[in-house]
Amino acid sequence: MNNKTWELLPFWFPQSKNNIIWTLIFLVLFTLSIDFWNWDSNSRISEWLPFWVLYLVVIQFALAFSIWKFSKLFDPVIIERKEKVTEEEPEKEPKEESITEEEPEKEPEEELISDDSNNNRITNIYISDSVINRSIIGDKDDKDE
Amino acid sequence: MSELITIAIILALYLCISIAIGFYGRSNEDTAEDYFVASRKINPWVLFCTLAATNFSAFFFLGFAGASYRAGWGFYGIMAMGTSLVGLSILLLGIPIYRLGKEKGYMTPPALIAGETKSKYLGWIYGAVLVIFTLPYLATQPMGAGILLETLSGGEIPYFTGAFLLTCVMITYLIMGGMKSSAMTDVFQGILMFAILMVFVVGFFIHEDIGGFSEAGQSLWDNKPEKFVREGNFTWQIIFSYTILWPITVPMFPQLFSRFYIAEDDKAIRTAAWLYPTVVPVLFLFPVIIGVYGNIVEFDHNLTKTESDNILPLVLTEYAPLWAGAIVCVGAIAAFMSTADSQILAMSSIITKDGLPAITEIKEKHEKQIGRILIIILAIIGLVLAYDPPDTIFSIVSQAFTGLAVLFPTTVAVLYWKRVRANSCIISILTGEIIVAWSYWSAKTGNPIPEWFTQGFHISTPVILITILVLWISTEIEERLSDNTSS
Repeated sequence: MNNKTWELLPFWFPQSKNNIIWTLIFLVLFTLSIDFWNWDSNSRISEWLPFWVLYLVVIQFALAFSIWKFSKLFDPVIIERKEKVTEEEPEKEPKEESITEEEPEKEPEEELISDDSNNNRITNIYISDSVINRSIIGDKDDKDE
Repeated sequence: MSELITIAIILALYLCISIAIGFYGRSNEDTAEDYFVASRKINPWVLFCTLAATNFSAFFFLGFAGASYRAGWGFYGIMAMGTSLVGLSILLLGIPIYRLGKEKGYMTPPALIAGETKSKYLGWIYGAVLVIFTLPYLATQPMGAGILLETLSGGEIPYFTGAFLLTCVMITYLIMGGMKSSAMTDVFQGILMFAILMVFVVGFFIHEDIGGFSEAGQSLWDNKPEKFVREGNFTWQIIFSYTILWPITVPMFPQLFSRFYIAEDDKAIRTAAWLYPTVVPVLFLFPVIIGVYGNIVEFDHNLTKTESDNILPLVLTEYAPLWAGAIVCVGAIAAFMSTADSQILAMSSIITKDGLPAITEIKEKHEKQIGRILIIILAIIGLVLAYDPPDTIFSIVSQAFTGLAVLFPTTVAVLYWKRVRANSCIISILTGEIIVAWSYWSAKTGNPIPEWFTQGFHISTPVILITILVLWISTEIEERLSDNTSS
């Protein structure tokens, strides 16, 4: 899946294959926590603690462990947004520093800065491909593709 | 009278320590950034403590126990997993919010939303929703303090006097030191409330009248076995709804959102993110245990729904000596104050930095002074709302939380979605709030939201789903319209 396709996805959809895997892990833990198959359970541990409460505690510790592992990898990119074009404020030139010399595979500037900047569009963002690869999609995803 | 003196001495000692820490925490720097976001220098452990203490409030101390008294262990299912998932929200939202705040100087949630979408109108709507729905939640804090002191003192400290006294102390240290004082007192108050709660629960079970964990469990099983099961108390749809609601709504609390700005680095947020679900599973057991096992205590009469919020102080007066009860009371008051001070400071900063500049020009050197005046005004508003509470703490916060959850899709979209548009966010927020208002109005007039709309889930679930869909679809429509216009 190329970068353009990722951009077309709805905002709630994980933006890389790595993130999809992590999303699945968290969804599984979430589903396991709603143990509707065991809803009428009344078994107790030492008479006072329901078994399903202990089960839920274990699930939460698994969640804590998963978040700990995920926190070591998670590195979101800050989206650089272009200034809004208003009548009072003339359109600014694109920032040169956002497209660095270290990015030989960069796309032509016309593609990075979309044409509809004049349509009062507030989110014309130009993020270099390398930044997306490194921080949103991840190098591993490129290999996967 | 001597009982009152005992309570007064213990309470005074605690309040003096809080003020002293607040005084110690104040900074010599005289900038709005230092006052509102502690110069962005809070380390990981203090950040975690302040996030936890800020989130665990009167609702945690009294609301949990009251609801568990009514609904049994099932209430643990309502609260625990969802709150653990807040750790994931801290990670996913906290890091980009922290980075944007540091890079662009944002100090409040609406500033970030308005700044990133370049829409002051979206910023105003976002800020208005934050303030409107935080006010009823703020009111539950003096409510809790008033209930606790009145019950513990056998009515000698009237409900409103207790609420007023604690609000005054909170204002004192907030005015002195702002965010840094708030964070420092949170550490003290957080450790204090958890330690006291744990000791109290263990003390309750080893009391000779209770006879230990097993005997208490058997006694409850013999008399009220329904308290052990979820069937009959909560459907899986309701627990599903709350498990979704907490991680969505908690980072939208302005007092939590603002704390993402104060971290000294990314690592602080990463640490807080995994510590949060590590602590919650055990910590949440304690107020639930008090509530559930309050059912084996015999009272003069059956407690009403609102009275059951008093279950913790009622159990205290029944089983603990007064000095011990007063110490537990201090732990609960710590929970109220650590939340209320953060709420007031966050709302004060929103109004100072985002609200007032829309009406009049405010010089930077005056921001701190204005923030202090607003702290007093907001605290008074909280007290006024708490004067005659309309419902249980749980019912009040459920409405407030759903109203704040509406902001989540917009926040995620602003942080992660390149295609986000301000107008779509505004439509999404307004749609969500209209449904929340409809649900509130329906409850008030005795006509519950129809079953076909909720499908058995809590109202928050369809509200969140609809706001996500509206944001997504309206963005698509807006994009196509502007594409057509440009072509």
